[in-house]
Amino acid sequence: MADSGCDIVRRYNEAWLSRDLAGMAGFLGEDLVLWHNHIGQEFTKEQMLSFVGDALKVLQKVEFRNARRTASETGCIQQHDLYCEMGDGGVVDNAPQVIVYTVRDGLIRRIEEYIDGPALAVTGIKG
Amino acid sequence: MSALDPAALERVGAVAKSWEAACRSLDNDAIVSHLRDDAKVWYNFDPGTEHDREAYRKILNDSAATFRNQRYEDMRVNLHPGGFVEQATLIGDTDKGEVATPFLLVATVEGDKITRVAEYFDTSIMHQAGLAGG
Repeated sequence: MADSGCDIVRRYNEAWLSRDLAGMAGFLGEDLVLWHNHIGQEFTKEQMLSFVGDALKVLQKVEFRNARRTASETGCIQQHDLYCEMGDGGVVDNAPQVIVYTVRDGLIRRIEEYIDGPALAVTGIKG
Repeated sequence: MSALDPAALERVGAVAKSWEAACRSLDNDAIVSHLRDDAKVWYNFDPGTEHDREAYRKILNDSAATFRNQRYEDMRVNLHPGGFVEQATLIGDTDKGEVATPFLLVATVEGDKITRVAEYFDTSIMHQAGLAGG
């Protein structure tokens, strides 16, 4: 039986949290679109992986705390509290975040992330 | 993808459709009537607080006074057996001009009522428009 949308999202996030960029990429369709509510722009798969690579250089620790995943008609929705420690001592302290994943044919095709923008100011990360 | 129970989705879908109509009507009493008496409303920018029905009604009424002529664009609803997720952009007029803020709402549904609402906003947009303190 094929993995459900939430199984795919869980495995994708395990790759993210273990800093496995190639592993992450394997769960993403070539047509992936990434969108953030606090930026209001869409990004391609290539742009997204570039952002994540840059982010991992400054993030000492990333955790999705209290993660809850809900299967939906189009994929999976994950709610969690984002915790990050930066190399300069800054902290993203359990910022509530929700991510809507559209999953089709076993690959993530769209990621829409909602967070309170000011909670990320300490990271200086764009994208 | 795993199959979702069609009967449960139909029940939740009816609540979601009625909720969407109430939101678009800007009738705050109609919106609040979708909440069960003990329902809670939570916002991502104030995660330590849960609002009851009457507090939520006041939030909606206060918002309408400063964020006028509210309308929704790009509204999408994702159903699951325990509720629905609504994504939209809320647009309104403020003293500083028109403001558009994307948001996501997670509604937990039991029977024909909503028991919990979790709303995710970016307050930087609200601060720029003078809609939030701090």
